[in-house]
Amino acid sequence: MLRSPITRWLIGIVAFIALLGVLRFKPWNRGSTGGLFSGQSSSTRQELKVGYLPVTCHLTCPVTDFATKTSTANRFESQRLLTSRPWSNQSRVDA
Amino acid sequence: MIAPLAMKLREQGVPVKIVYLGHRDGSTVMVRKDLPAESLRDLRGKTFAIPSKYSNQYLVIRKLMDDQGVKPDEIRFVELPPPDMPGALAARAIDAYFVGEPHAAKAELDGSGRVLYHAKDIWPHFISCVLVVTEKLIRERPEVVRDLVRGIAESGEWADGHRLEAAKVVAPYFRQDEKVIRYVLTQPPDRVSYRMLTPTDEDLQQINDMAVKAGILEKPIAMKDLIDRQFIPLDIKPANIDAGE
Repeated sequence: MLRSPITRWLIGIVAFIALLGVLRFKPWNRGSTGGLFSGQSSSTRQELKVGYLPVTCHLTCPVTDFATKTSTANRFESQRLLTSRPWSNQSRVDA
Repeated sequence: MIAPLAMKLREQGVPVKIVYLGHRDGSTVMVRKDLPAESLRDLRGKTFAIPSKYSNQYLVIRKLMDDQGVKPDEIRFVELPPPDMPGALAARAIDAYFVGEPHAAKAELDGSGRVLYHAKDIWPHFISCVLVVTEKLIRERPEVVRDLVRGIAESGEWADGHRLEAAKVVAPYFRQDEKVIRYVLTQPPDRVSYRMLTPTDEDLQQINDMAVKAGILEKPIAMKDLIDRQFIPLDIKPANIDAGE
C-alpha cells in the first residue's frame, strides 16, 4: 500500500502538519497556565500571565513576578513581549 | 500596554479597562551627539523614531512641536522597535528618538547620543504605559485582578525605594545589562517613578484629547468606560522582596 510515492508523500505531509500542530498548541501545557488567564484552578492559588515589554515603564510587572514566585498568594507570571506593535517592523508615520 | 493603544482598542470595541498605571516619567528624547540641536525646532527635516504612533511619546512630541511652532510634516517620523533605536542612532539612520528607558540610556552610555529632553521636563508625571485587563477577567475573577493591582502597586512602592535591588531583580527578565538599568533608575533618581500610579480622569483625558487631535482616535472616549479604579488599594506598602546579595 505504501509503495506508491504519492501515498508516502501524503502520509509524510499529514504527519508533518500534525507535528507542527502539536508543537504550536502544546497540549502538555493544558490545565496549567494556557492563555491570558488559566481559569478556575483546583487549588486556591491561581495563576495569571501578564504581558510586559522590557522597558522600565513595565518594571513593576517582572518585580511582581519575582515577588509572587515563592509566595503562597496568587502567582503573576510575567511574559516578555518584544514589541507593542506586532503588525509591522518599521513604517513611516503619516503626519 | 501603551496608553493610547489601550484607548484605540476600547474605541474599536475591545472590552478592556485601564486598572492602574505602570510608572510615571521614564522616557527620554535622544539626539545624535554630533547634532547641535537645542529644541525640536532644530530637528526640522530630520528623522525621528518613535516606538509606535499609538505611543504617548508620539503624542507628546506632536504637542511639543505644536508648542514650538514646528509643523507636523517638518519632522519625518518612523516607527522603530525600541531595542533597535540606539543602534540606528549610532549608525546615523535616524537623528533622534523618544522612547521608554533603558533604550535611551544605552545611547547615552555608548556615547552616540545625548539627552535632549527627559519626559519629566516636557510633561511632569508623564504616563506612557498602563495596566490593562479584559472585562471578562474583571467579571469572572475580580479577586485575582484586585490581587494583581495590589501586587503591582506594592512592587512599585518597593522599587521606588530599592532602586539598586530593583535593577538586579529585573535585569534577567529584561535580558539587559544590570548596569544600564541601574543607571536609569538612579541618574537622576527622578528619571522614572513608580508612585502616584492611580489613573486620573484628567491625565487620561489629556492623552485622549491629544490622540484625537493627532488623528490616532476618531472620537473622544468616555473615561468611565476606560478606567476602573475599584481594585486600587487604599494603603500601599512596599512588597516584601529579598533581592539577595
